[in-house]
Amino acid sequence: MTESREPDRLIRAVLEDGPNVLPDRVLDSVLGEVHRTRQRAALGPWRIQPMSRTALAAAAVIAVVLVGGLVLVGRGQSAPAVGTVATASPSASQSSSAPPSPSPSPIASASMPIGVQAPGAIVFGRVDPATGASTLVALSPDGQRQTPLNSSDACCLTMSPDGKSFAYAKDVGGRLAPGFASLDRSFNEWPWSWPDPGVGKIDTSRLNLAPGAVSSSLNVAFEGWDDQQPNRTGIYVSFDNGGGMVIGELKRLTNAGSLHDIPIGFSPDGSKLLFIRDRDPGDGIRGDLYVIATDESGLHKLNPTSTQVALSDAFGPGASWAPDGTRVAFSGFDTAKTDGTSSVYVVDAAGGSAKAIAGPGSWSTSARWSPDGNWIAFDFGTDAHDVYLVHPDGTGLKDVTSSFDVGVCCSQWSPDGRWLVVQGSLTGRDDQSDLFIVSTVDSTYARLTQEPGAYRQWVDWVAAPMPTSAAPSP
Amino acid sequence: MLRALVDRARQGDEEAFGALARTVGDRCMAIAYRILRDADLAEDAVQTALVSAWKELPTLRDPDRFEPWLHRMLVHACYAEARRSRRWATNVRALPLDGATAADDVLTVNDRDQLDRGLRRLPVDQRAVLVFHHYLGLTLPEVADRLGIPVGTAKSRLHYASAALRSVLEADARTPSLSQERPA
Repeated sequence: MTESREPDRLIRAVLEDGPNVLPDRVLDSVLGEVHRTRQRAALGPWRIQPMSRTALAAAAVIAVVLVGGLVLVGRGQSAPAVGTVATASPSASQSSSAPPSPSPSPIASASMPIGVQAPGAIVFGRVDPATGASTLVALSPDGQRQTPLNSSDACCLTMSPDGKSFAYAKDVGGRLAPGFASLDRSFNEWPWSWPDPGVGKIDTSRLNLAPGAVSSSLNVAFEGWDDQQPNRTGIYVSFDNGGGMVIGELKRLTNAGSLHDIPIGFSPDGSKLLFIRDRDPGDGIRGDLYVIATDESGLHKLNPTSTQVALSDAFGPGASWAPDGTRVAFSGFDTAKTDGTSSVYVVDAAGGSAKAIAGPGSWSTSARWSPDGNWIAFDFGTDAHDVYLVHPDGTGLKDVTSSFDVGVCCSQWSPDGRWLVVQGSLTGRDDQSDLFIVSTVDSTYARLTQEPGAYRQWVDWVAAPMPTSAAPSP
Repeated sequence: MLRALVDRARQGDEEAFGALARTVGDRCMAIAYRILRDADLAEDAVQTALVSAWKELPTLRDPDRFEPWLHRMLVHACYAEARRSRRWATNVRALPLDGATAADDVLTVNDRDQLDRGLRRLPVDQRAVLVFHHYLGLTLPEVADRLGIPVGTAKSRLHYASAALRSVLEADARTPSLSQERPA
């Protein structure tokens, strides 16, 4: 019997169980990574310490010399890659129609303007680093109004194309259960409950369903998995049943054994789904980029075999659809290298050879097609991580964040295509970020949040107006 | 000794950092496993924390605070692993079968099993407080400092975690064993 024992003593005793030795292979791995990692110099998307303009210029000159020398040595007399931006040099931007702003200012300056007058709402999950909990939030682009969209830990915020509704997921009994709500919070359904499975239907009682894409007709694609049955892993899609409710018939779309398929976007007409097949779930999410029709036909891989495409809750997917649905842009990491070498590609959605339009650079985590289809926003960096724009044919390259004193990445377009919301770290830590707005016309920028210690996930900028009610619904 | 290694590592001495990692790695592994209840996730968290420590060492103002500073990074890495595992991991744990442990004079197999299940059901932030208080033997102000949270928050997390585990034990005590249910 346990009633007579001291519970604290039992708790201490059970905590004594377990390993007390760090395996040598982990230490070896740490030391290997340490050897490849410079202190105070990020290999990730952020610049670790704010750099002065002088230091930045000096670093750029050194990088130009070093990279240029390596390119010449490695390629002999061959022509440089299209749109090479492996350094912080703004020279490539000289050919663009809109030069970057010549007025630099410290990123953390108190005088920095807050927000801009722009349409729509910026949505994201704000992560409290002390608890790891994520609160879904809508923020006006002028930075003046912030409204929570939920009241407890939720993940996987995925907006509908019109921005009026969103899918999300929350933990229920150790399982991720999806929900769906309207941005104005007039509607919220969580957890989704499907009818008892009949013959040929899917049993959702043990299925984790994390939303990753919502179509214009409100079909929702989920990354699905069953903790007890790995062979149930795959993409599941809830098809609108035409009854005016989102909760439609659930169908399994992909099956790659135990490999996770993560949906990242429906084509604009909703007939196809772009997704990443994660090759190594233990090492973040990087894998192959696939497209499949929602009728399960036409599955094919889009990225070259020597590349992998990244996906992260914080930085978003490394691929996006063209607005006309004919092509896909993606950032591909070179699998032969471990230093983050990556290039930006454009490929026909129907398949074929992917064309490199920018790079190689370092640690590119995004490739976002503009609403008008004329630009692709992506991020590159060595010491200075910046957001760039390039035309889909590889011309017109320009660095729109060259005047930032810290590294930025992971842009999302405003609905009118005049602005980008980007993430940057005021502290230099990889796990902390704030949001900034950058003009795609003249590179002026403004701070949207300033909250060192928190970071943001699933950032998006939608056309729907900011919600007005104060009470969170989900 | 530790201070000297930290000072050298802050200057970019990889060899010193290697020695430092060997000195503190076992303790980090023990903490991470007890928070995450999974050896693979714990190894990943320790690796993340140690590499972060290397990158951030120049920002450490007081070298004597190295271990608390590292532990805070470790806890954040554990939170990240726990969140990641919710999306990825099939979290199956094999109970130790190979002989008695040091705790066996206190715990029955059933107690251990029930408490382990209870621990797994706790939010990871509550597990962290339990580990720092009951396993490392830190006072609540020390736990709060180590985790970067207010003392009141540490206190309430400890209260809820302890209450949850007590209820597990009490529920278990009220449940008759299978042998008692069987007819003689």
